[in-house]
Amino acid sequence: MSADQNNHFFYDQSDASDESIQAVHSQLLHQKPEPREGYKAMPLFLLGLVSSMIFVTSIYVVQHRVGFSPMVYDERFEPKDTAGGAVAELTPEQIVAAGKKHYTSTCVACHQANGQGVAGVYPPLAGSDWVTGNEERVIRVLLHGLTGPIDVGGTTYNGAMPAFGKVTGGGYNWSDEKVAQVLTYIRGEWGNQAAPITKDKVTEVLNAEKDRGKPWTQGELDPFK
Amino acid sequence: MATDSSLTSELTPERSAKHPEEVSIIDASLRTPLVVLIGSALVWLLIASVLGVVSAWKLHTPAFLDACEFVTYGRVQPAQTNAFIFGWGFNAAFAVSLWLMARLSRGALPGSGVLLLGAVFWNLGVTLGIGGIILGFSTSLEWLEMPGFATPLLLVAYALIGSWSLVVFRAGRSHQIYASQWYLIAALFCFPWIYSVAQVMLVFSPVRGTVQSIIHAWFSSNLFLLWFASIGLAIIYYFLPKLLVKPVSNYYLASLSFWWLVIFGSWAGGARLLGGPVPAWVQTVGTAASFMLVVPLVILGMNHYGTLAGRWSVVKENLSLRFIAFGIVALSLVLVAWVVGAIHGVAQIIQFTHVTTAQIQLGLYGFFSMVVFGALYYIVPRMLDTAWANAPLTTVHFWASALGVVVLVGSLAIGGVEQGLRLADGSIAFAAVTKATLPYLFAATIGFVILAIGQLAFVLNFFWTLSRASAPAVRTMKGLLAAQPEAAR
Repeated sequence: MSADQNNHFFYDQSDASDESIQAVHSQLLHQKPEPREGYKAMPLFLLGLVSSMIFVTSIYVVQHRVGFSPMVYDERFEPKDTAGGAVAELTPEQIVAAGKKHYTSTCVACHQANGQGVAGVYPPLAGSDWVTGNEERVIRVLLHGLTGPIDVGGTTYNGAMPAFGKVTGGGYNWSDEKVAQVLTYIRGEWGNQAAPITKDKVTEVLNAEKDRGKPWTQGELDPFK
Repeated sequence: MATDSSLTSELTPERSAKHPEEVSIIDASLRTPLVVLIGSALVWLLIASVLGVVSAWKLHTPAFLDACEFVTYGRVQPAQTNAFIFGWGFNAAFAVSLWLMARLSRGALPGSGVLLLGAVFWNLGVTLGIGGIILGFSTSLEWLEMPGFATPLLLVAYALIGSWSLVVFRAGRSHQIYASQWYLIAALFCFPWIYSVAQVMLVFSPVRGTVQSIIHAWFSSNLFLLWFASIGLAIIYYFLPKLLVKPVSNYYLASLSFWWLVIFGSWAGGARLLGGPVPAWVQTVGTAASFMLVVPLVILGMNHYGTLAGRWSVVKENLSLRFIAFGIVALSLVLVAWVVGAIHGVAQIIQFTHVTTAQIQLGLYGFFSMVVFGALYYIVPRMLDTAWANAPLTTVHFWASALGVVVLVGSLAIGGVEQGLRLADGSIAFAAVTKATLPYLFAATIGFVILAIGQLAFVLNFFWTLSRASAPAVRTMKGLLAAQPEAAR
């Protein structure tokens, strides 16, 4: 019985002495098991465990960090759920506004803020049947670009319009949505009164011309006039 | 492993140690402060046990003692927790850590005046704090309920007491540092850090909004992992090789688990806020850090169970080892529950139910207190130079504590899971859910009563033993140096 042992503790001190505990363990601390003696699979298992714990928890943190945002209170929150839903709900006014933003950041350099272009160098967009005419044609121009002499409102221009769509050799890689927004904008601005162009229509045209890798010429676009 | 068994023969018994007189000199130098610390710890333990029964009783019978404002549930329950943690837990931890540090560093206490002053201040601070809670000055922050006028005194007292562990560490003549000492020193420096941060940011100059709950979760989880668990692990690492006369198995891994626990344990508190009103990334980091506790869980398991393996018959015979082995199992369960509770799906059910209380009780009673009891059964007779006064009382203490912990934690855990499942079911009314927990709360009260009987047996036995002890022989550091002048470094 335990009490008996306690009663005789001072007669029989058979417990390990503190000094020997220190000595033995400081030896053990620096004694990693060598493969040749006393080697067990345990340390290898432990190495695997430590590595996999670090791996798994890192992935967990990255997956559920929600941008370390102080405003998000649920780790299952997916920012793109709400963002995606919001884009699908854009009103016509918002589409035009987005198109105007794209126009003023890029197109305005050549075609000018008033859509008049630069006489003899850059063709106007206002009142141009290239813009307000068949949507098949204007989509192609924006997606792949345009080169060589063209006739706009009786004046001949000989410049180069770069490719804005996601096409081979295109420098801008605008999404179909962005292309649709900017086209909708120019077709309704400066007195132009053509119908809006949808994102799906742009996608359709892009798919129809997916093998094309160079800008159009006026002659090639005549079928879409 | 082979290296372990070859070194077993080098563990020499105390009776044939190189410096046989040293041990008794060290124990004698610690006698007065240890008696004061352990004595006050046990008085607080008794108070906490009684308050525990009262508060548990009120949970299922609210009309019990409801006429007096000083014993309403909102005051008795925090008073119980604080008496248990700061009265019993800290006094006992001071005593045991001082003794462990002195023994392992092989240094005697140069004098005990400041230490005694610290002990008096500490207990004065706890008395003031708990009196403040009873009188209605509680801060209402769990584990920090003590009002602001008591806590600075606690920090001063802590500095007076805690520094002596470092003094004996420095004054000691051992040139090696053992795992127990790592944990003791870590605990020693962690407590003032976490406690002062929590006091300043929550009580004296409260931060705003959800940051409060984050700081609070950080404080309470660190108080357990970096203070109570560290002290408990120091005890386990010391007594396993000592009483089994066998080196700790896979000891070279102990340092890995130590650093792992200190670094990730500090972050694991965020998991206590899962589903709570705090930014998601805090919960995510908390969950990740809690998962990381798997590594120390496995290493501690290899160290502890690997050492115990094949020696269970010794555990059955030895009273101290029985308590410590119980604590080891409880610690494993606490860590497993911590990791599992950090999983989102599990937290959805058990968060904010009685399971949380069950985990805390398992950690503080099942692990920390049991391990400390085991250490005290070894320390007290050596310190007083006499055997325990009554053997049947020790048996009562062990079985009552073990049974009490099982009943208390078991009932709260099962009841809490059922409560969580019912709360998640929208078709059950809230009142019905609460009412369904009544049988479990009643069982928890029975657990508290059984525990109180066990603690009473222990307290009686201690003071009985103390009364039989002879007057202390005056032995100090000078005596130690006189005994072995050649061993002075």
